[in-house]
Amino acid sequence: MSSVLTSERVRDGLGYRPLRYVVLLVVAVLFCTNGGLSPADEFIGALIAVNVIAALGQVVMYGWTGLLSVGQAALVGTSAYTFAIAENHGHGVWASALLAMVFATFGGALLGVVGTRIRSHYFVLVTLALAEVVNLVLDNQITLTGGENGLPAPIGLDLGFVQLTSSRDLLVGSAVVAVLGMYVCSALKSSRLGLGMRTLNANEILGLTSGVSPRAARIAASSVAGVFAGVAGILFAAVTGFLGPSDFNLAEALVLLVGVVIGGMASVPGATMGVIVTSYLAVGVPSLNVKGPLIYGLAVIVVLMITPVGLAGTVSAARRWVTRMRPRLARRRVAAERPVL
Amino acid sequence: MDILQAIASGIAFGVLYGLIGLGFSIMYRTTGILNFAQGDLVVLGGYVVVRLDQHGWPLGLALLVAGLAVGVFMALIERIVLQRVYGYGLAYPIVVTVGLALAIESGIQLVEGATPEFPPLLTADAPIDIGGVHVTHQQIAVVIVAVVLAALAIGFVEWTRVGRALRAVAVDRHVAGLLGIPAKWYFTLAFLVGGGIAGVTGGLLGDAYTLTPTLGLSLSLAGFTAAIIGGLGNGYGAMLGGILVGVLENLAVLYISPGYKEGVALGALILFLLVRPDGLLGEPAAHGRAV
Repeated sequence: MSSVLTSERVRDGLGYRPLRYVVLLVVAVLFCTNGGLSPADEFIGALIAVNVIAALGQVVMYGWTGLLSVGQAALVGTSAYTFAIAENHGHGVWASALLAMVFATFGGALLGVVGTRIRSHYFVLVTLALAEVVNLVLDNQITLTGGENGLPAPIGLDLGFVQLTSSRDLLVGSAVVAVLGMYVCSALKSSRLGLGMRTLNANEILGLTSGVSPRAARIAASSVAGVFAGVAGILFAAVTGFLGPSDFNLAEALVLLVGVVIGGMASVPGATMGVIVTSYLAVGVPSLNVKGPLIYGLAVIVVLMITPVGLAGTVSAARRWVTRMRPRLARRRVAAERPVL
Repeated sequence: MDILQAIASGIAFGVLYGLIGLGFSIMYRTTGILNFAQGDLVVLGGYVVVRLDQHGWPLGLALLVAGLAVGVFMALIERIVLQRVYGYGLAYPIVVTVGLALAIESGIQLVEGATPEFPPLLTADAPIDIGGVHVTHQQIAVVIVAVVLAALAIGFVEWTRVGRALRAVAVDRHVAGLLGIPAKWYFTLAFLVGGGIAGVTGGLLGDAYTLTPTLGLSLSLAGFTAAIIGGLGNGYGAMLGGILVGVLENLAVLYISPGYKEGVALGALILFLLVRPDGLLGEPAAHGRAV
């Protein structure tokens, strides 16, 4: 994994460049408010934005740190249920949101602590088991969570300075948060902490000799994943207004993971694209219904057969090919590819 | 007496978990890949047996055909898909097998519909009474078939020439290659055997489960738990772990609540992964641990 050693500009389409995110933000808001979307589309769009936010956590955790978790959806669920239950008990939006964030972040940090002890397949299994435990609790603590009948939550968010009530408000709100999340994620990627995580992933010994603490980096990564899951959960509760255990099961975790993998793991824009595709397949095409998962599962297999490096990897491979074809440009690129470490 | 009853039916469930875990273990040990579709392969085998049984095939033959069909299916998938993604890290094989699980699940749903099926029983389902504990002929038959199947699989891996080559590939595929063992084909063989065990297991679900297309995940989880508790990669361990899980689950139903039946198994899985990831019989392995 030489990704750590090449400069951000070459690796990542957008990179850590604030202006680009401002442009992206404006485009996203214009797209969401142009009036061409039906309320159903807006609902689906908001759900996709929520998935993007949750998947950013997966990028930090797996793409950079190498902790493969299938528990991200369960963290989102933890946050969504905490938020809804607190709101239903008459707590304010901010207090409920804070509580939800604390729970999700704590849950994420817990995964990180586990991740300092065990790795690879064993870690995947722990996250799988913990996610199933969360689902069992959601299913069985009926007085608190409504069990399989689900739990109604107040639709919309009243943040005080801004009220998100209609489906369009919620779409715009989620899209704005998603773009902000992408920006934070990109900034984190080129920060000292992000570099540390990616160095450990590329070569643990190299990381250790560079003074990166594997323990701290792993716990930090999974806590960040928890934060993203927390935000996603709050938005999910506000957008759907109804929570069921099946919203946060393994299939949902896979929508996130598969999106990140086919998008290209460590790349923020790549993963975002991937998750938009997988979430759209998962939530946006209700007519597929039974055939949906079949097509979805087969699509995953076929995409990975054809392009094992993911969409972003294919894009950068194509870019390298173009670069090779254009020698003059190549010389400029070489200058940009100087190692940063 | 309740406890004895719970233990007895726990064993009947447990051997099934053990067989699923055994399939995992054979695949994992050789290729280092966790097959998340294992439970769905079991379901697939179950449907094959149900259909063949409806066409009047003798049950033994139906079991055999189901095992072969599912084994060949999994081997083909390994050959065509999985071999392309080895070496790309942890996520790819997992995502592929999970995609396979989804595809099998909804494929079955598409072809067979979501109506539950009842897998044929191996024998007449008459209960017999052993010192106040009720066990059915079916349960006894399942335990016998499962133990024989496990013994065959373990014997194959441990004592035959091909099995020894399989283990050599598991230890070091490059050195095995130098000794003239084509690792590629032995990877496929591991999936053939693991898939075959899953296929036969599907035909043994009998009165333990009602067959639905979505049963796969919970079977996979039970199998994972069995394999981890016994020691991932250890055949005897998988069977032992499966029986422990089955008994634990039944005791949980008795003493806690039926809703948390799976929770106890999951708790055991988490506990073992954290405290003793090598399981009861596994040898301490350096991989899977942090520095």
